[in-house]
Amino acid sequence: MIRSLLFTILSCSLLVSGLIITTLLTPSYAAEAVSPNEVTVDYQKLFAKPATDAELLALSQSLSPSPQAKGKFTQARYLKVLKKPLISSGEFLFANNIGVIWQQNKPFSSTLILKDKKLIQIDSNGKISVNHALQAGANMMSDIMPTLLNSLLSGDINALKQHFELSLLMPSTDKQSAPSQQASAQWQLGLKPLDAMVQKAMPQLVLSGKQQIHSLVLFSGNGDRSQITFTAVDESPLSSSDIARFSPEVN
Amino acid sequence: MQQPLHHYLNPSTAKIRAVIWLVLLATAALSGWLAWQSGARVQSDILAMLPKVSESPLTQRAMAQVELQLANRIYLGFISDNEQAAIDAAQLAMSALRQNDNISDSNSNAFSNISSADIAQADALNHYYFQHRFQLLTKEQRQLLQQGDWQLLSQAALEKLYNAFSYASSDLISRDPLLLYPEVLLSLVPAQQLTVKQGLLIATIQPTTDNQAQRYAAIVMAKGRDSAFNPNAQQQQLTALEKAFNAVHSQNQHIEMIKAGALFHAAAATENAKQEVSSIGLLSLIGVIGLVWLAFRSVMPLTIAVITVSSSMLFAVVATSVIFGELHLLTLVFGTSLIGISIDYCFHYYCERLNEPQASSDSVIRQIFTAVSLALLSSIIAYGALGLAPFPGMQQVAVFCAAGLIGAYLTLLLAYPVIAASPLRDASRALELAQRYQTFILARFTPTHLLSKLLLTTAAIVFIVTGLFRLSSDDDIRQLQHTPTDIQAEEDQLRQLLSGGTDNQFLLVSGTTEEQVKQQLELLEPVLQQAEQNKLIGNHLSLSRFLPSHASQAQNYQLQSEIYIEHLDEILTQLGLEHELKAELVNDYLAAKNQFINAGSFLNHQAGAGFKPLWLMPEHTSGSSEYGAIVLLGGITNLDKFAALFEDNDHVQLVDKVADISEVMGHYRQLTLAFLVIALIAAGLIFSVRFGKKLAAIVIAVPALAALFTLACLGLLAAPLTLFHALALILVFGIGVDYSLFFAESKQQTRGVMLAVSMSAISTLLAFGLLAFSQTPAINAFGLTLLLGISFTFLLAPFIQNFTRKSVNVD
Repeated sequence: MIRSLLFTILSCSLLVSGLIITTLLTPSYAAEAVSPNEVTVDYQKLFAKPATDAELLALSQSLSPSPQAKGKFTQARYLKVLKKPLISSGEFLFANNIGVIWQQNKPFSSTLILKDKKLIQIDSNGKISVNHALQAGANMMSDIMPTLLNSLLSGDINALKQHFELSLLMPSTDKQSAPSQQASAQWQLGLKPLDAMVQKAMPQLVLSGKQQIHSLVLFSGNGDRSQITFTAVDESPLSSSDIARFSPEVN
Repeated sequence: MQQPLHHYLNPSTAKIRAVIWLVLLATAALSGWLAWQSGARVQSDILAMLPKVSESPLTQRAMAQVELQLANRIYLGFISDNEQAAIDAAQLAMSALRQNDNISDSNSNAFSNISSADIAQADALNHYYFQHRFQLLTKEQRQLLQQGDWQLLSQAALEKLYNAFSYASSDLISRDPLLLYPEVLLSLVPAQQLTVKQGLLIATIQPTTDNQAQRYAAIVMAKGRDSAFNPNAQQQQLTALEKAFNAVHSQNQHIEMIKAGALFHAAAATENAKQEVSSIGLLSLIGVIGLVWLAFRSVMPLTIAVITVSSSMLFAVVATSVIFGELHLLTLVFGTSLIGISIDYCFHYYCERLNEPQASSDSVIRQIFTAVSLALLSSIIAYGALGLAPFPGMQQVAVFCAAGLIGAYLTLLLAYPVIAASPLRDASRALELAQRYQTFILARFTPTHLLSKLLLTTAAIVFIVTGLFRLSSDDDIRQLQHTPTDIQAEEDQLRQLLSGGTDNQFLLVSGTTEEQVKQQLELLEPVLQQAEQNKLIGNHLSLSRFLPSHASQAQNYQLQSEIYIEHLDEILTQLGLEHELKAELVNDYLAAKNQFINAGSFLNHQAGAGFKPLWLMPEHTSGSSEYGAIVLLGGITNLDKFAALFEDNDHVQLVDKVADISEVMGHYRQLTLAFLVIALIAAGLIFSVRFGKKLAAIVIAVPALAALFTLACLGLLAAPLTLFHALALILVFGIGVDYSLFFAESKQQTRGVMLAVSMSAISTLLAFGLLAFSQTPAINAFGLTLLLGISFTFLLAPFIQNFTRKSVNVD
């Protein structure tokens, strides 16, 4: 009984740890609040239109399911404090039974590999660091990225409903008001995280595409925005050299 | 001395005495009722019966603080192979536990602080440390800045800036361009395997051979509003939990639920003790009733026995609850043995009446008055010894039994002449049986020849010496704990999920100033990290990361001038940031010059509130002028080796309450045994006034030999000696000395005494022998010792007649 009594002395750290990661994403130190209008001006219509089950079913059927994919990405980050947007490009690999590789090639190389709940980072000097994914400030990376990619590539839209409130604009339903200047045949899927903490950090995401995902836009609560465009998406099985890239030499 | 007392026992006062007895009973009942009305209660906290350890005021406060904060906590785990199902179950259980709040006033809720992940605290930490960011650096950042390598930090910041999934946002960059702060915040948190989802702590359980799928456990914590050892609160908490568990189950059949906390140990202990009290008490009562019936073949002695036992119990319970304000459950368990002792007086009375059917009730009482008074005196000496033990629980047992015996004694003297006066049926068969037994063992086993005397003595000495030689001792208080394996298994599982939990030893760092303590904590940190690497300990929680010393904060601030004063333009250019940011950054940096983190501001901020128990401010009222910090430890593998790390450190002390209490127990075990010797000598001196030196020595030799034989047996049984064995030996002396006293008093008229002693021994063995079957190790030790001790006394006592015969002959 003595031992059990004293066992109850569980470290207070327990209460703190794990949380901080999500807190980091929280702009609690934000100097000024940004009105949501400013962020979502382009997408108001989208988020005003909750997705129905029938629509989601139609969308998931239009996506050709695949357990893996690779391709190129171009990313533009629009941060208020930057003089000009940060443009980068690189390639990505996804295999739903292994994980994700997100490799930036320009303007400098840096790689993020997520597998087995571990986050492997290779910086521009080739230095490799391995972290427990949840500890490395990678909640968004570890939770949202695989979920998003998995759902979209395998057509399992329902899985997204567990984490997000979904809204959808299908090309056929609302052609004129499709806000994107690109082809109006694109669908747009708006995602609002259900988890309050995640939502605070990243209130909205927008995915768009045709048969495949075309772009992903991430919004922060402070007016920052990142737009990622996917090109040359190839859904054929990964080669063994591709798979080997998930295991970089750690020395 | 006895003459004037005798005088009051003549028949003319019988009625008056009966009235006095009734008045006493009524008074006792009334004061008992008052005590229970004014809040006396049954206490089942085993800690309440542990000895007080004398420590420095600071150490005592540290112990109290650690206990206060962390006692009465429960931990629940909801396990499923579906993460969402585990989360739903935990949320349902949390709302069920909170529900009582709405039904009536919030005080009626069994639990408070029902929580999982404490998001508010994490938020608060973030807020707090952000304002102090200029005083903080991680070890790596400090090294780079010391080497002047700010470019490396700048390059790393740029890489983060490019990562769309990183925490680099405009708000943060505009105030911390090198993104140093997130690293600092992360470094505050020790590595561990829990994640947070939807406000809940989630532990991932890796697949095992039994369970192929990966599973998830959602963790819920709560604090009992009242002590888990308070029976009412305990019941209330268990009911609330059951409700919550049922709610979860009715929603999802497949959720596995595990729980840990003192509550479940306390509940098991209470259940166990209740069962033992009722089963041992009942068996003992039934045995005694059967015994009385067999001996006297009459309802009357039985009625009188019940009256004696009840009034004795009444006195015992009332005296204990008036003096202590509560009745410990263990007192009741030990106290069931009072039935066996108090009834002895009744036995002696009736056996003497059987022996002399013509004598009146009054004359029988006068006849046994001396023996009974001496018996009471020696018993009270013995119980007094129990009361000297520093255990509140043991003191209760002492008061309980002494008061109970006085009650039985008073009943005998005051009430028997009236209530037990009716003539007894002739039932000499039992007497004859007793006499035949005594004649038989005296004839058969009294050594006559020198050779057999020598042989017997040698055999006894060899037995005693071998036994004592093998006797070991074990004072570890953990042996007081008996936990059902299923409770232990669930607890171990949760412990593992919560990264090992924390052990009951902790480090206390002290100093005369706050800064001294903080610097000591900083010096301690690498030592503890090394100890973790060497696997001496599994983990530790120190305030060191949260409360850096003033000196290192000042150094961190100074180092950051490299960024904000010397190279800010270059940094802004390299990161492509707007140069308008510069003015505000420099301003912020300069303004923060004296933004030091100190214990007062941190612990009174919501961020640090949870760490308050780890910090001790000087408290002049209680005589401690020192500052102190508690460092919690977990997974200690080698306590001795670990303790050796701090042997030469005046500022760091390893506080180990278990070891301290165990040491005190060992100390009192030795003291108790020493007191047993003193009690034997004291009783011998008192008896020598009455019996002469030789017979007094014989009277004392019986319980003394019984004690030696018992110790030898324990040695041969490989039962390590504990304080409880020693305490039981005191009782063996108290009861055993009665037997030899009565034999010595009765000279050659031993028929009645033999019967009374047999009945007493059988009833005592019924009571105590059953205690030896208790699951609680302490009670078990107590029972086993009494079982052995009383048996030996019973076997040895009849031989006293051999010596009274001689002394009679000499007279």
